[in-house]
Amino acid sequence: MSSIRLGDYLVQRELISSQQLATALHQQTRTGERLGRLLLILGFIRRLDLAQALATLWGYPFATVDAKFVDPLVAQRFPLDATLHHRAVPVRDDGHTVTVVVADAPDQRLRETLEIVYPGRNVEFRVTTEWDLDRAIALAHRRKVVDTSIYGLYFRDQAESAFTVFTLPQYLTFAVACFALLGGFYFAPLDTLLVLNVPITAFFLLVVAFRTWVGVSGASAETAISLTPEELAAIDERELPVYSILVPIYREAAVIGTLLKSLRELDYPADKLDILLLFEEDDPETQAAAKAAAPGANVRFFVVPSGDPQTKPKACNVGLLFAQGEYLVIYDAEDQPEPDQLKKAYLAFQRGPENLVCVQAALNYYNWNENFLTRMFTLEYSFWFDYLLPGLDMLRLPIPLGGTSNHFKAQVLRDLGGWDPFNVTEDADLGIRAAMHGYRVGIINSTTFEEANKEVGNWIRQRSRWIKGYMQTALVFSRDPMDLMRRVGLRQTLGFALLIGGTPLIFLIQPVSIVLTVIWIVTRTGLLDPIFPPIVLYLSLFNLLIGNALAIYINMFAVFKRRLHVLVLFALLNPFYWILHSIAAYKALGQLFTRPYYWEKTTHGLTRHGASA
Amino acid sequence: MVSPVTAPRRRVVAPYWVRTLLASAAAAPLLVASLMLAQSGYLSDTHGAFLSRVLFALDRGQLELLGFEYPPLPFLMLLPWPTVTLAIIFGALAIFSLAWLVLNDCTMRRSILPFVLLLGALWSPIGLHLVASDFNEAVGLFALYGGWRHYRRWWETRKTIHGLYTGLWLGVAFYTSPLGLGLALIAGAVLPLLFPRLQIPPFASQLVLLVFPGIAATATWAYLSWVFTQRVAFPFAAWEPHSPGFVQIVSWTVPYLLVAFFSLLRPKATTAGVLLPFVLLLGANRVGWHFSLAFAVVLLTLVAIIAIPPDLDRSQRALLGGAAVAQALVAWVLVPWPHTTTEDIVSRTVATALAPAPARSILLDDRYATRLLKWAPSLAPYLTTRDTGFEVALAEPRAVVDYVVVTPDGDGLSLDADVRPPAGFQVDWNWGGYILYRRPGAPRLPVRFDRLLVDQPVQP
Repeated sequence: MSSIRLGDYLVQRELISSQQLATALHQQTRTGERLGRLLLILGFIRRLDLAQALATLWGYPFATVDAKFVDPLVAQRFPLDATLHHRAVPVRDDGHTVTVVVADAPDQRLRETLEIVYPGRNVEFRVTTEWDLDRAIALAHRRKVVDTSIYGLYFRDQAESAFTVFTLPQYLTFAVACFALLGGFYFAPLDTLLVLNVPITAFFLLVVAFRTWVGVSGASAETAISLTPEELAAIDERELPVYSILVPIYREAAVIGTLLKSLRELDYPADKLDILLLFEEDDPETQAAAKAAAPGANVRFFVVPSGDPQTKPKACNVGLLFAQGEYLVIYDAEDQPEPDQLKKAYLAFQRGPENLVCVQAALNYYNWNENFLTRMFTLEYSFWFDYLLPGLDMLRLPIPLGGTSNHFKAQVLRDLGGWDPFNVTEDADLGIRAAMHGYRVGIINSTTFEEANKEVGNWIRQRSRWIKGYMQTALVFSRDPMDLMRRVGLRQTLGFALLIGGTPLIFLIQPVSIVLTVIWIVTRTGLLDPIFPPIVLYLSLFNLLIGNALAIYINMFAVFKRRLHVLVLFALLNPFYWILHSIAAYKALGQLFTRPYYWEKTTHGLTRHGASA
Repeated sequence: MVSPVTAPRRRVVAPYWVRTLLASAAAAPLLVASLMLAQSGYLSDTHGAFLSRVLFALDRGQLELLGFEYPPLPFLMLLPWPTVTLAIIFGALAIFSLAWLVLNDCTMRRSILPFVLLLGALWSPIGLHLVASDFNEAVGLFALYGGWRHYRRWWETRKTIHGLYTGLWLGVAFYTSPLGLGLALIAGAVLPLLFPRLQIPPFASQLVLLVFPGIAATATWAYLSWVFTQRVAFPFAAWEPHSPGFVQIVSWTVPYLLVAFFSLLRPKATTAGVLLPFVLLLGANRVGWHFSLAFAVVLLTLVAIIAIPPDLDRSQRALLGGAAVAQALVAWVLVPWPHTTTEDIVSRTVATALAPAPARSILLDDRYATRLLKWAPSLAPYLTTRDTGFEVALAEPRAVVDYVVVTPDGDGLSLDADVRPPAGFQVDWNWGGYILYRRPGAPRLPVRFDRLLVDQPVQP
């Protein structure tokens, strides 16, 4: 290994100027990052030149990785975990010597591990770029990567995977309930309707009370002091860990440029960002668009190996395998996170309890004022992320994570089994699973702005996926309710049931209630009297009048808090918006039986409003 | 929020036990006096009306039989245990809670003056009305003051949670008095005074947030009345038969007038907030939103408490405190105490006599029997205008009921029953303005004339 320092060597080779070296060294005093990475991030050197220079300084040959260079059988003898941990891929083995490619200087522990796996062999190291090393891993372990990303959770604990949609007891319960209902309708239709109506009405009431309680608790959460700009400014950037950003992208060529721009604007040392763009194999257009957007040196491209189900959580699991950060966050392609978000998440983790595994940032929409649908969607998100989730946090109830902007401790996430690729709301599922395992999810006062769906069809597709995912999550965690209660307690179990189970149920029941109400208003028929005895009638009216008024009122405050004053009156139109939810819920219910893992893709890039709107 | 949380700013408050003790001291005399009055046979018309409607709804098992009379909250509160004792307890609890909040203000301002002003209004025959005669108004005052406190914190901290609580409290207040909506409108109207640079969208949205609960409550009540009665009830008929006039209010709100005067000497935009509730009371009176003198006095006293200028000198403070004490003393002398009337004793005696009758066996036009019904321990014996079968019974009483009662309040039955017995009935007794007709063969329902504390039975 040469004694000359990297910076001096690069200047000597005229690969960088002295001025550039000085700039990078200055940056290094601020963030403490390695010089080579800093030079890359600052754009002062090409990745290839840097790798070749490092190879020279370390005294190893340089290698370019391609499919022919990697012998998968040799590589696969070195376990994937070890490969990822040491960032080293054995590519050839001639019986005497094993050739191993690395991107960092090999240390003693790597040598010892190789000695165990390839006993008696000489080891020859070759240096390559970070990108080529990732490519080598992907080539060598393609099958393993696919299996881990799809079945990792299932093999770890089948009971927590949505791979099995209904367990046998659930099927039997469902079948018995159906037969009982059919029999009831045949023999005593009115009594059956009454028997159905009583628990439904009581459940509605419980959900109304629960959401009001949580919403008001969430509203009062703002009286707690959140992270301030002063606290963020006081962070010593040298202490900041590497932060991985996973961006699963599929057919998002239209918005990828904007995403990269927002990621560049994050207030976090660029050299400590590890951005992984996760493409699908059948989507070369988005890859091309990403390359055209000239991503920084801290951006890595990954092509997720094809294999069913082709879902976002599967892509995220691939990203999780390769992520190098201590912390990790998911962003969608159309996301515009507030610049301070990563630092806030970091501080929250620093100050939070040991079992804090994830913090969720708020989501909201930059095209909130585009049309009726985007306004209503914004009302809903303002309530959900500004009131409901903080309320759940305050009350220590399980928090279903939002689709993006959830920040994790990467290793704990791996221990939890990552995302469930068979669950189409893998985020909500993960939040509940974390609670099941004794972890906490928290909330931070930072927002990621997204693009609200502006088209009804697109909205229903997206929403049907979300509701289907809630159904899957409810089914997964209700497989053994006693176990759930034993692990998380009665309060959390009830919270889970009312939120995750209750949300789809309410939307499924709602149209029936509306139809009955309209029939009664128009005809004033007495036919419905037997199924609405006085106490049921009063509770139904309470749900209809007080429940809806409370929901609307709290929603008004949620947008008021966001200073979206124009939307306050739009909250009155929520009942019409909820009808759309019901349509989506029935679509979701159908798909739960026919295509449970199918990922209803949401089209982005339809808005005419920019992120700054 | 997760950890990133530092402790919120601590507010100075008196120790829990001190507040409990003082708030109890404020409410206890009213509670004791009211219970003693009830023991002596006093039941206000308002409490009697609440109780009779609740008893009726409970007996028939249909809440809608409360009749969609406004305000609904007192009826709902009395449902679990419809007795005058519970009404009094609720009134005392509301006064206790109100005093608690005022004591909170006292500790924040480090002054006992607000509490003295409150006691000056409460500890008199005027204040006694809120517990002994109309607990609903006490609950309303508590809700209004609770709403105000959050409104002030909303204004001071800009935290939306206080806006939410303001609206909810005003919504509760609206279920006790339509003035809740009026005060919400005032709270909204003065927003530009509190936020001088407030633009139209935020002003409009805050106004909506303040009045929405009241409007939603109105709409709810209207819809419910339509569902159950097929006509929309306008919820502005108050239980108080009439409101005090301008002079009467002014005479019994001297501390308020003094505070208003002191405020006018230090004119600020918010001074309007001191005067508007008074205007609201006068306006409400005109549109028929009736309220008692006690309600007006305590409401304006609360406004005075809120608006006491912080820079009053010692003599001005002494003047205010002295005025409150003097007002209470004068009220003790000049304002008549609640008492039991002869009509009440007669009605109670009759109601007791009729109580053993079988269910729906007494035909009664409840629209003209307020005084009788307020004393009825149960509404089970009566077949009233709100019962199915009333019209049939009216056409052919002997086929449906055993008794027919005519009250001193009016005939109402369209049977000429005040003139002659309905066909098939005979006079069982005729006393104190009440006539009981009995179908021959039906058991007698003798009235205990000795219950009347006069020498001779009242003869018609």
